[in-house]
Amino acid sequence: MVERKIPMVTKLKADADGGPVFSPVDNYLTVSTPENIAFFYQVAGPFQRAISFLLDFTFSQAAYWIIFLVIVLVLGFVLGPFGLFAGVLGSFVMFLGLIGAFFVYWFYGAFMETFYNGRTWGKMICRQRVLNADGSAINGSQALLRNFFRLVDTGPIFLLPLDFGTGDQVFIPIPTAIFGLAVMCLNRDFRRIGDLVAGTIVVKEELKRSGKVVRFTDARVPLLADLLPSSFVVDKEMALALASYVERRPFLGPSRLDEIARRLSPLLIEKMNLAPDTNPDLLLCSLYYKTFHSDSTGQENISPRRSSSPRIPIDMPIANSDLLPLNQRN
Amino acid sequence: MKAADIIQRREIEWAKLEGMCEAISQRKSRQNAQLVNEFAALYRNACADLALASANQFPPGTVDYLHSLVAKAHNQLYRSRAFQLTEILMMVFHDTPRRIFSDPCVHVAGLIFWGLFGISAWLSYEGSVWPNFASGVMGDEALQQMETTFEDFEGRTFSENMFMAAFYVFNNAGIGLRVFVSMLPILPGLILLGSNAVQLGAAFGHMLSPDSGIAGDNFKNFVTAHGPFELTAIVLSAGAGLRIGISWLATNNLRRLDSLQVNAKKSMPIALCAVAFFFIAAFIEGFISPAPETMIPWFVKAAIAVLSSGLMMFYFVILGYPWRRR
Repeated sequence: MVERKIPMVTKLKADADGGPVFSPVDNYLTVSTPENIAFFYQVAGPFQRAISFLLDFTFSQAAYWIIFLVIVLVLGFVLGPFGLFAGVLGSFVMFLGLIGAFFVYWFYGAFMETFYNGRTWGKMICRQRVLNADGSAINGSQALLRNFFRLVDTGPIFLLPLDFGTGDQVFIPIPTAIFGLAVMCLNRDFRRIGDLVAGTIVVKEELKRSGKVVRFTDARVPLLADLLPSSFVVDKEMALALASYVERRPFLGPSRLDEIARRLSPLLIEKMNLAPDTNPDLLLCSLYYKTFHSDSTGQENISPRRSSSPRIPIDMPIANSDLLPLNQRN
Repeated sequence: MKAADIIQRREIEWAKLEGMCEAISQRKSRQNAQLVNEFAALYRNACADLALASANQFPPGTVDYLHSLVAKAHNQLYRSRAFQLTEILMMVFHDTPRRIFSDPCVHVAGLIFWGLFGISAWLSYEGSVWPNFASGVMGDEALQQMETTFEDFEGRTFSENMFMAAFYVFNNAGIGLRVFVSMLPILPGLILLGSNAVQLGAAFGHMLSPDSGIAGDNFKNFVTAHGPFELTAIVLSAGAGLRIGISWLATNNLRRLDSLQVNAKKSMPIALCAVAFFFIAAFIEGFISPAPETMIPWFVKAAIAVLSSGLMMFYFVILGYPWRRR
């Protein structure tokens, strides 16, 4: 089952509330699995796919020529001295070469996508994968179709007239890929004509790197968190807002942080009955701490391992003025 | 329990799952059962974690990470399937001939091709109706060149044969697939099919007309054996393409895109059948057709043509007729 959904992270207002939904600039494919959960993929855009296509073209051609040359050299060295290479064997090599060229041209992509689970060499490098439009794995017939119809996608062919000084004009066919690009821009999943015919979609398959709860080195954060009234419940939307704020802190300057935090802090201060001059940034950090961190402390025993799984985001110093709320001073 | 606790408790498993994704995707042979079991268990746990994370107050970064982790593991668990042998046999000997037999698009493509081919051949054979039809279609130069080629034709060596067979595969099967693909917007495909039909027809009519002399004899000698397979293959690939082209115009109560995909899936085997025919034709054309009269007499080649037509008829009609299952 596939449904168009804006991923949770960017959903600023829940659909159920009937409020405005801000659609993200990037396009996502949401997949519901047999395990009864939904996850999303980022769809790969035309220029990311152009890169993987160029890589594919280069690699398939390189592999073809290397294999061809190896066969020629091996046969030449082994059988050459017996004088066998020149006649029948030589043309047998040409025979293999031409048949091989046919298969590389028409079947390389389909073969790779069928047997390597939707990925060609270029897609492996660019971390892309071909999927069925509902998020399941593609089958061989789809792989064949989408690769055959690349011919339409790369059109129209521009014939570049060249004159090599012989007086005869030679026309070099240059694929412009305008058809494919136009069609990709006209549908929201960046599917080219071949994708539409085969019912496939190309997604990015990258592990996101940030994932941990932000830890604070500033000792005032837990202190203030303790002071916040336990009756104050942070609801889901506010938790998202807090998390978005804290996760972006390392990338913002102090005055910008202050500006953003001041939007929320007066309301919170009033609601929680805090001192009016509480540092807004500190207040939001403390609220974040209260929401996401446990009360027990000292959990820095993360074993080092080679993995891209959640790394600890960089902490950002909190501005030093008006350190603690008034009732905590002296 | 707060998010930080849960994340800390779970992240070791996440890292393990991440590592296993790499391991499983790299190994090409059959996976060992224990590994797969463990992987599936880890994956289900990660799914549960994702559900928990998105339902509760987890930082967006964690949710993002879990989304990408689950997506990656999902692709390792649910993999693309290659063709199964029984499926292939069923496809080749049951589904495909039936589709070809009952597909109006193939019939229309056949009518267009054979009709234009016949008319064009007749016009260039009967010089009186449309004088100089053949040279008008193909150009004087090409016609002259074809005549001289066949006048001097005295067979090839085995090496040349081998090379030419591969060339015919590359060229003719390529043309077939091009016709198939360019039928998607219909008009380019029809033009390609029509121009092929008219040119081939003109060549046949001109070369077989009495005033071609020795060149005509050689031509007849050359084309007889592989003609049936090659010409049928063009019709098949055009018919398969035409089905896809028609499907997004006449959608038969489906959404346009769905209709396109359903019909593309249906016509894929026909296109592959055409490729197979092009292969057979290329090998006949490479090894049997160029043999001179003294080596393989014409009646043998004619017998091959009759035999291959018979085989195709068996395939299309006997296997293709929608027999009721008892």
